[in-house]
Amino acid sequence: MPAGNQKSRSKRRVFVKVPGGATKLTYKARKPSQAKCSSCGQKLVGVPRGKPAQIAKMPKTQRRPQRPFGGNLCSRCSRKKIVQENR
Amino acid sequence: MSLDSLKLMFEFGVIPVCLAAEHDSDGMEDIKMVETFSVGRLCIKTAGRDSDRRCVVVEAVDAKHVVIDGETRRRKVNIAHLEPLDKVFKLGIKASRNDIKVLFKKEFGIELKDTKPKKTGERPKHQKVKKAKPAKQPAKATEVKKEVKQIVKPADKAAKTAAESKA
Repeated sequence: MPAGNQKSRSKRRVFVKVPGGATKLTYKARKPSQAKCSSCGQKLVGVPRGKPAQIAKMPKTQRRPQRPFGGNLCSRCSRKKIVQENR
Repeated sequence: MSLDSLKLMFEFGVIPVCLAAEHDSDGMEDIKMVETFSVGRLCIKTAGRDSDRRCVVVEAVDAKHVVIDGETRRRKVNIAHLEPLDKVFKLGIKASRNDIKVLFKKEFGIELKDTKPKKTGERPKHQKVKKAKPAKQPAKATEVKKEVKQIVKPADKAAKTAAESKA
């Protein structure tokens, strides 16, 4: 029977085959959800999912697109904002 | 609005791009685009890593593409990725990078920087370095040792026999 704290669904259940041949149940942490556009809510492309410690180890160019508002706004919303600011 | 009045407005380049799409008929859209994005028109890039930077139209390639230069890289660009502004500068067709540097310094007080083209060097090839094995000298050493052993043994034996005989 699993312990009380193991019934939580905040961790995902993974079946692992051990060297002895048996299959055992282990618990692993879930990844954070995908980043979304701050204005329209669309999922952002080019922004990886991961814990802050994992993302901090990545190179800066792999964390977000290299353009103004990259990682904050989607491409459509960023174009709208640029046009609004310059008109 | 009639087509004749629209044509007159096109000559002065007054109609903006957003309105042009509403009055699209008989291929007029291409003409409108070309006239709004004429040589010397100040624009802002709205897409790509150069977005939110000012540039000037240097050359018109076709109805949908244009060569730009300025705070951005000198390159061919789709008109959909540009937002035209009110200013139009007097530029010759295919103006050089130096001409645009002079223009930007005069109008905006900005010194444009040149990016160095990346030189792709040869990839370093990983070569396995074979370690030179030390030269073996077993034959002579063993022969000497054997000779020494042979020499020692009879002497020891003789010494032993002499000692035994004295005793």
